[in-house]
Amino acid sequence: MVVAGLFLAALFFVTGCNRPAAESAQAAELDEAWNQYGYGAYDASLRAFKNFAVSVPTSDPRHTAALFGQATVWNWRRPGEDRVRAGEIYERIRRDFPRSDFAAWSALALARAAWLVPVGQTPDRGKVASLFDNVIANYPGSQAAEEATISLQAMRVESFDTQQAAGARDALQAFVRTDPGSIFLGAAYSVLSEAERVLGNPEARLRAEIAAYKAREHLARTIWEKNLRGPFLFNDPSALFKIAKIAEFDVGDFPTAQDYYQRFLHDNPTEKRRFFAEESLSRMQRTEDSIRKELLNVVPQGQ
Amino acid sequence: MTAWREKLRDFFPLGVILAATGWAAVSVWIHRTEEHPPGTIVVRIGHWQLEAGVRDALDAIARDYEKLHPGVRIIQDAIPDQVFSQWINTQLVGGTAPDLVEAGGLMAPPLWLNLQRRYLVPLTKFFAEPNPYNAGTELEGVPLTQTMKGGNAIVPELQENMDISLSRVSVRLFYNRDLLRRLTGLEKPPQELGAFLDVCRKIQEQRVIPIVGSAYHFGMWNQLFDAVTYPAWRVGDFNRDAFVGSDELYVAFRLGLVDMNYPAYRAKFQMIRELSQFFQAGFAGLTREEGVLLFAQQKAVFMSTGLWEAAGLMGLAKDKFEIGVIPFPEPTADDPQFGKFLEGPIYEDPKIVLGFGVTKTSQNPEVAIDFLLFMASQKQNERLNRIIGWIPNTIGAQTAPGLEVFEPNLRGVYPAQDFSISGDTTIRWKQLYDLFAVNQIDYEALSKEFGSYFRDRGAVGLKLQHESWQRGQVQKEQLRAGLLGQALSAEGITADLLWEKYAALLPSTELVDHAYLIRLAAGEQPAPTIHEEYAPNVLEKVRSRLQQ
Repeated sequence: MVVAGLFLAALFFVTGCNRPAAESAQAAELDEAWNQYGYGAYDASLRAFKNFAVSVPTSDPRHTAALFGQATVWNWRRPGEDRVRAGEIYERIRRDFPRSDFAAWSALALARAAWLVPVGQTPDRGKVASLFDNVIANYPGSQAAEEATISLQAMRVESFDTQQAAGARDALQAFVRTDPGSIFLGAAYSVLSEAERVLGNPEARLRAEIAAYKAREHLARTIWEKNLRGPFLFNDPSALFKIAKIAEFDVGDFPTAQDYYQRFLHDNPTEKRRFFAEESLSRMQRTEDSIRKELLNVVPQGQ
Repeated sequence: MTAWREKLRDFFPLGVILAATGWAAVSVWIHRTEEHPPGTIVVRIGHWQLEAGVRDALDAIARDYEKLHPGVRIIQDAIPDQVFSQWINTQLVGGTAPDLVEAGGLMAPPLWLNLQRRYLVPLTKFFAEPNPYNAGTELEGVPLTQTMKGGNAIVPELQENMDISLSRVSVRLFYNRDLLRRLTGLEKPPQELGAFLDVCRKIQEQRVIPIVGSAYHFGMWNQLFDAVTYPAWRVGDFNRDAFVGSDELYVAFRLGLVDMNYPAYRAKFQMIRELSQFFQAGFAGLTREEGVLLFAQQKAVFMSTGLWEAAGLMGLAKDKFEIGVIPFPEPTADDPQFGKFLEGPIYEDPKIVLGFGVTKTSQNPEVAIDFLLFMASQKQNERLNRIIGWIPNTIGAQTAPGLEVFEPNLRGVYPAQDFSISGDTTIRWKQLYDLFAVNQIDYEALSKEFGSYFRDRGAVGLKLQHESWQRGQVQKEQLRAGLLGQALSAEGITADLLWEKYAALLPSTELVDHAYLIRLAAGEQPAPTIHEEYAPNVLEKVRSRLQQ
């Protein structure tokens, strides 16, 4: 009895130890399949995803991950893509695993594939919009739905139709209000900025650009705080410059322009546009001095 | 006996071949064993820098590293630049590439991008950490990215740092000091353009070529010529990035905001005309070697070239004549022709060179990266560049005495004239530009011919550029799909970092930017009003704020 108990305990210990090891090996296999995809070794990647999919039960979420991997390879391999086959696998994921995250991402992949047509072809905007709507409606609250919202609104802004742009602005304002923690917050504000450009609202555009920059910086900082390796490094010279130029030339908000040119110079002391930034700072100073002088010379009415 | 002889005759060639093969195998084995005894960690470094000094410098640094790390052997694969591109391609694809490869691969950027994605190890995490070999210097504890003067930007398409650059080079005006003294009585040429042109005139009167010209050397003067086009940012910067892209310039042409008669553009060509009269006749058809030969034979006084050629030129001139180096002459603010267009000093794009990436097939990636960090450390970077005769890329590493003149000026104006919207316009522009430079056509003919060509063909160029952008989107989407797959399977900080990259690559506004330019060109968007400085409503806002 004691021997049997010890045997069972040993068996339990051995299998218990082996399970994490086996799972870790399987995770490495899945990683390797994605690595192969990244290297452009599409055949090897596809083989690895297929082998993995049959090696785990269909109830295992990693089975869905492997199916998604296969669909991704067929969708994006060049040459040799097969969008029909990719579409079938995406649809299968949506049908067989509707509650999985991969279902939402599959729906989004179908929409993006319809949007990114080969050069020389024009996407069917109505169909693409309905596919994005489908992601938003069927997978509310998912990251795929967040990305679909932004892609859909960017498509509407790109029409340069003011009604469409106004609709996009409303949708994006609602998005940034309701999803302030989204990883796509920066992208949402950037599209909002473009909508405001189409609508001819430079002040609102400037606010959106600043919010986009801050959202991206915040996301980077949040991740850095979890990681804390070295000092926090975030630098986006083009974004800083764009904000400064819009503030200076479109809005006439010199304090904001000065602030962002200074930040640009501080973070990028040898960047090509350093001279431009320095000249802008002195141009604004000159202009303000001249207006101040002008205002001093104006005799107030009634005196 | 005869049979034995016949057998010997039959097998003799085979025996010779086997003996030769055996001998070769043993030789290679002995050589390899001497080069890196069994148990040695070998790191190979592949590059195309066959210029004087580079191999010696890499060797010297490698030997220092080996002393610090017994058991490591660094071996160079120096491949001529004519074949480097093919060589590195096949090595990477075949899985036999060196551990460290020189970045760029001398190939078109999209091809290199593809190879980077597939075969190189991202180095981003090392950029955020201090370089351990900077211990004891003022850079101790400073993240690598903040210890580099340049080349530390991430590759936008990959959202990763992919290589570490070790050196910088720049372009300067070299001159034959003896010849200059004999012909003009001057020890050093003037830095002011007007006075420099006078010196050239004096040299030419004595039937000596003032400036060496060739297709290669003439191009280096563009830094000066293009600087006067800077004022065009006022009419062609639609996306507010302070640059005038070829697409923006085309749209500005289309809208009539700028043309070939734009004063700053005319000034550029006036300057070319003033200078090109001092190059030898028919220079545009000459090669680099022919140009260098003229200088070496003391038939010309000035020659523009890069720091990479300095050591070679010094060697050619040794015991014959003394070489001097100056920055390109520039017009002063009171120059009657060019002063008002040159709004500041000229920004000199520092050419960041000798960048190395680590291959995924490396057997010892940690050692390869460590050696790269060793070369990028302040002390070693100074020593490396001292031996080569180039400018260090690490902050605080001192430039070798005598090379200070090559330090690029990083504060100044930059070009705002780019006609390369398509292959057609680029070629046509180059043809007409060369004809103008050698005085076969005047500016009126150039502007008439090219102005209308650019307006017509630019539309096709804009379309092609948009299509090329669309193709780029596919590449980006491929990368995003991979990041998404990995992010969905990862956990913790790895997942967070993957999601951050995935979000950053969402092409949300590029689409709108492209569409805006296409619509502007087609007249479907109102053309922006151009003001010398600020629009009246902007000034009114400033006034109202200052009144409060």
